[in-house]
Amino acid sequence: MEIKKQDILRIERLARLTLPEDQRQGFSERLTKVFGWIDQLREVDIEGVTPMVTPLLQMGIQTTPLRHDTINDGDCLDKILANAPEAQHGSFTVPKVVE
Amino acid sequence: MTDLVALSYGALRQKLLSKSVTVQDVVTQYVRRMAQTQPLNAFVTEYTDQALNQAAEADRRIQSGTARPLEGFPLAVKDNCCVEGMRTTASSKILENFIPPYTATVVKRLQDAGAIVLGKTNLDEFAMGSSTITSHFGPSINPWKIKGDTADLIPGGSSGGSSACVAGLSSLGALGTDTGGSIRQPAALCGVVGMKPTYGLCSRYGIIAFASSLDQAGPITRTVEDASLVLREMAGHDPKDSTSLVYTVPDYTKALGQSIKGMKVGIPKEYRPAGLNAEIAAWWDKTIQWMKDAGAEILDISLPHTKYALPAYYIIAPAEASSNLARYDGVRYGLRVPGGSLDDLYAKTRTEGFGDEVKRRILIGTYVLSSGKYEDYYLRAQRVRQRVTDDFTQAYKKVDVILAPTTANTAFKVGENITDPLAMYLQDVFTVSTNLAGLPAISVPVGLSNEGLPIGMQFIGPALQEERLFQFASVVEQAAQFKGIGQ
Repeated sequence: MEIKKQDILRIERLARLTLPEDQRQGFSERLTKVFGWIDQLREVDIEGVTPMVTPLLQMGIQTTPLRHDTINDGDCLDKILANAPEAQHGSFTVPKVVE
Repeated sequence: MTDLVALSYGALRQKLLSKSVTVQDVVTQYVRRMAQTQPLNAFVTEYTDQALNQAAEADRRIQSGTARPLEGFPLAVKDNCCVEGMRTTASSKILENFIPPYTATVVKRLQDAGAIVLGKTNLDEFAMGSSTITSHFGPSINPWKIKGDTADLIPGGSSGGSSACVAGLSSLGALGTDTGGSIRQPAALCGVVGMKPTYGLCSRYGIIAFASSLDQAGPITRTVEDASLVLREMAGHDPKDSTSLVYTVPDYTKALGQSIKGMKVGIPKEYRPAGLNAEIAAWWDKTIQWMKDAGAEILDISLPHTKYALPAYYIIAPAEASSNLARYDGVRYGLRVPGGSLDDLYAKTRTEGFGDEVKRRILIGTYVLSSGKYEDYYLRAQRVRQRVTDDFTQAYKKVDVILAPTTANTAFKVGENITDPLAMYLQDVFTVSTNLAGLPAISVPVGLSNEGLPIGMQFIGPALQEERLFQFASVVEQAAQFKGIGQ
């Protein structure tokens, strides 16, 4: 199946990534090739097979353990904000989003 | 005292406990070796001063008779595992200055057992690759060379820095992560032991997520025993990772040297395609013979969906990655490129912060999860994943373990990089099925190619049968008598 340039533009927007204009054509050809190879999956009989989301079910693990709903962390605002590219008044800052 | 870096932990520990050497002697030698092997580019960031300080503390413990199970074990940590206060980049520009405020559980456990972190090792950006060439910090170099040739070779990947430093004697052991072969493949190409545990055996808390249903951390070491010692300390349930199994971790070292007489080894015909590298095929046959010599029974088996594992993986892994990597948005941590609007800031940050291969996989993942494609690609791949897994379930009704090559080729030269994405993805052909099924596997070096490059074989086991894998791996280790660098 051909992945067209307009498909590339759509997924760029969804992924919040921008490819340089001169790379889009090459990337669409590349993806067309990759998906051509992926399409061999259509040969597999998957009738009645449930999608496998995790290997844990194979091990008979039906539920994952729950923790007690208690506070075990906190008071680490400075540690968290130390990695923030921009912070003010104890908060992350972003460009204005409300007019 | 000159060659402490060449010793296994078992041998080293004897010397430490008998007080014929100190941890400070050991760490000093490793620090010197790290400096000598700088051209390997195995480490992204070194923490040698901290390591020397910890060595002094370890010596005090040994003096006072309170040595812990891995006291003084010099450890390198793949740079996608967070360590509090140590820069953790995932070899990406987008995390170039990230200093984690917490430590990954697997690292914490190894530190609590006495291991000393020497530094953080290079990987393909966000672990996406099989060579370290996609690292923002440039590729690591394999300490092995082709006989009579000085050209640099890739160490494999994504845990290429971890494998290179263990093989190059600049760390005794290392942590790797394996999403589609990223522990076993570089271990094989560097002539060291690499163990990918059962999904859920080790906590993923604090490990920078690539594909959450596939990722698993594990040890890279020079001996099977060292791998068993490290895994024993890092494994076990962690309340901070709900997918980590509630499981009593056995003493894996007890499996070492146990007889495999009468046990059944499966040889999957799908792993011997026409055109398989003849030397690798020959070493596979030799390993099969060692199994027979040790009294094991060899059975031909079939894993019929093997050829579909790789295309299924290249839907599932990018899909999960596109979701996991959505968090890198320039707001809370990491690179930020200013933009006029919030959306503009996101796009500019991600465009500048991610390398080409990571972008490619995010876009593939976004595509297969997008409206109208989800069922046809993502759900189909998950159903094929079940088929791949069922193959193993059927096989383990007949055999105890499966034996196959770890890689299709030996290490290739830096600069001879594979540019065709399909050819590059095929590097993972022998390893991804195991991740899809969540099974444990161990790669052991068996010998050298005619060019003088290491070749590895892997044992794949049923879920939570790590003991059995160590048992078989130790038999191969004994038979192969593989000599690593400096041995």
